[in-house]
Amino acid sequence: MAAIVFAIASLPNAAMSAPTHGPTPNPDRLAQDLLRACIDAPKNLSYVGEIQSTRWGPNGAVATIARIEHEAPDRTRRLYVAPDSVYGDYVVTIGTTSYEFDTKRNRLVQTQNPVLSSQVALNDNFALLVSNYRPVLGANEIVAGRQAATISLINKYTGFRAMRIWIDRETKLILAKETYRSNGAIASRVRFDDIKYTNDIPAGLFSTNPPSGYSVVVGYRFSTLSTDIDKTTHSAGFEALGPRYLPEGFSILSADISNMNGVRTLHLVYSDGLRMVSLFENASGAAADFGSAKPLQTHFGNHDAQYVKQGPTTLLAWRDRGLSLALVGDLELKELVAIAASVAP
Amino acid sequence: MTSRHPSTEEIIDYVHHELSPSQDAELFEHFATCDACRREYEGELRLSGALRAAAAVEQLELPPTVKVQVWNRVRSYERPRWPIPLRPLIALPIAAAVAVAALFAAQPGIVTGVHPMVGAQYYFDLHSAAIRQENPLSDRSAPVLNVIETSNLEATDGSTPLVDSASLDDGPNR
Repeated sequence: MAAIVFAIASLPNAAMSAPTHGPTPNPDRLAQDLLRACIDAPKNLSYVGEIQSTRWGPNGAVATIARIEHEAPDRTRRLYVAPDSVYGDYVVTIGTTSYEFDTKRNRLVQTQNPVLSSQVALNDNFALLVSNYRPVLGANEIVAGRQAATISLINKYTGFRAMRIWIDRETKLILAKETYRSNGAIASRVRFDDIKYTNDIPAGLFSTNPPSGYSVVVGYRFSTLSTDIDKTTHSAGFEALGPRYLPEGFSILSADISNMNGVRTLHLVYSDGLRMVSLFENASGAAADFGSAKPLQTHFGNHDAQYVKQGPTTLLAWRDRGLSLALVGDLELKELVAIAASVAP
Repeated sequence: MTSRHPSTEEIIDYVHHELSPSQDAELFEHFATCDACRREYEGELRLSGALRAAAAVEQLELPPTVKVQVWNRVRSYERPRWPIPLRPLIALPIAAAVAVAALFAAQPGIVTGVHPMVGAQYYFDLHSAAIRQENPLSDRSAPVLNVIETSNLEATDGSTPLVDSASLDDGPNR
C-alpha cells in the first residue's frame, strides 16, 4: 500500500512544494499534472470512509450521507445512513455492474453501466478539458483530516469557475468537489467527512448474493457511446438534426442509438470536457413524457417548448421538422434554448 | 416480464401492495421500461389517492333523486331496432374491428390513437450514463442510476420525487 501511495504521490508533488533548484515550474502545468494524476487514483487506492453529497435544485437542496468502502481497482460499496428514507440501503458496484439493495422492498436491482472510455478516449477528453478550462492551484486546506491541495477549473472563454476540487496531497484522491452555475452559485457538493486508506476490507462486504426473501430485478443495460458519429447518425433511420450553435469550447464527442418502447432514439453528446449536453431525437412522434412532474413552458423561434429541472440539470423538449427533440444539460436554460433554436438539418 | 404488459387488475393490486414479492418486482421492472403502463400505474395511483382523500372527508352516498333517474333510464332502455337476422351482419364487422384494434394495442411500442411517449427520466438517465462514460472527472465507481434514491428519497419541498431526487451526485469524482 505504501509503495502504491508513494508511486502516485511522486509525480505531481512539485505542485505542492516549492522547488529548491532549477527554474520555477509553471503553476498551470503543475495544476494540470495534479489534475491528471487524480483521475486514476481510485484505481490504485483502497479506502473506507463517510461521504456526504448535496445537490441544489430550483426547489431546494437534497443531501445524502453514506459509508463507503472502496477496494482497488473497481469494487465499491455505499451504505446509506441518511436521510431516514434510504437508511440501511446499499449499493455494490463491481466494474460496470451495480447491485442496489433496497431493504425496504426486499429487492435487489442489477444495472449494467456503460463500458468506460478507453485510455485513448479518456486522454482525448482530458485534453479537451484542459483546452477549455484553466486549472488554478489554490491554498491547501484540511478535508477529512487530510492535507488537500485545491484546484479551481476556470472557463477560458467566460472566466467563470465551473468546479473546485480538493485533492489529497499524498494519495491524489479527490476528497471533495463543488460545481458551480455560471452565476457563481453552488450547484453540487460531494465531500468526504472521514477517510482511512486500508487494504483490510472484508471481501464479504462486496457480496452480490441476494439475501433470503429478496426478489432480483434486472434493470437498465446502458449501451456504450460510439465515437463514430457519422455511422451512428446514418443508422438512425431518419435525417438527423444538429445544433449550428454551441457554447464556446463545446464539440461533439459521441453518439448512440437506443430503443425505448419501440421508439428508435438518436443520442448525440456534446462537451467542453467538463460540462455536457445530450441531444435526443426520434422520428416516431414520441414526445417527452413528464409523468407527474409539471413542466414549464418556453418559446423560441416558432417553437413551443417545455422544460423541467432535476437538480442543476435541465431537460428542454420540443418538436421540429417531424422530429421529437430533447436537450439535456447542466447549462443555464437560456444557453440550452440558444442551442435548441440553432438545431437544423 | 418486460415483454408482457400487466393487466389493469394487476396494476391496481400493485398500487395496493397486494402482489407477491416476485410479481411486485416484475411490475416494478416493467414500469421502468414501459411508459404506457407506467402512466396507467400513475393514473391508478392518483385515482386511489383521490378516493382515499374523498373517503377521509365524507362517506359518499348518491342523492335519492340521482338513484331514481338511473332506474328510470334502465327501465326505459330501448332494445336495438335491427331485425334479428341482420344483427350478425352488423355485429361481426364491429367485433372484427375491435379484435384488430386489440391485437395492435397488445404489440409493445405500438399505441393506437395516440403517439408513443418517452419518459423524461429516461433522457436524464442516458445523459447521466454519458457523463459517467465521457467526463474524465466523473466517479467511475458510482452507479449511473440510483434506484434506491430515486424510489425512496423524498424531495425536501414536496415536489415530484421522480424529478427532484433522482440520480443524485453520489461520488467524489462525479
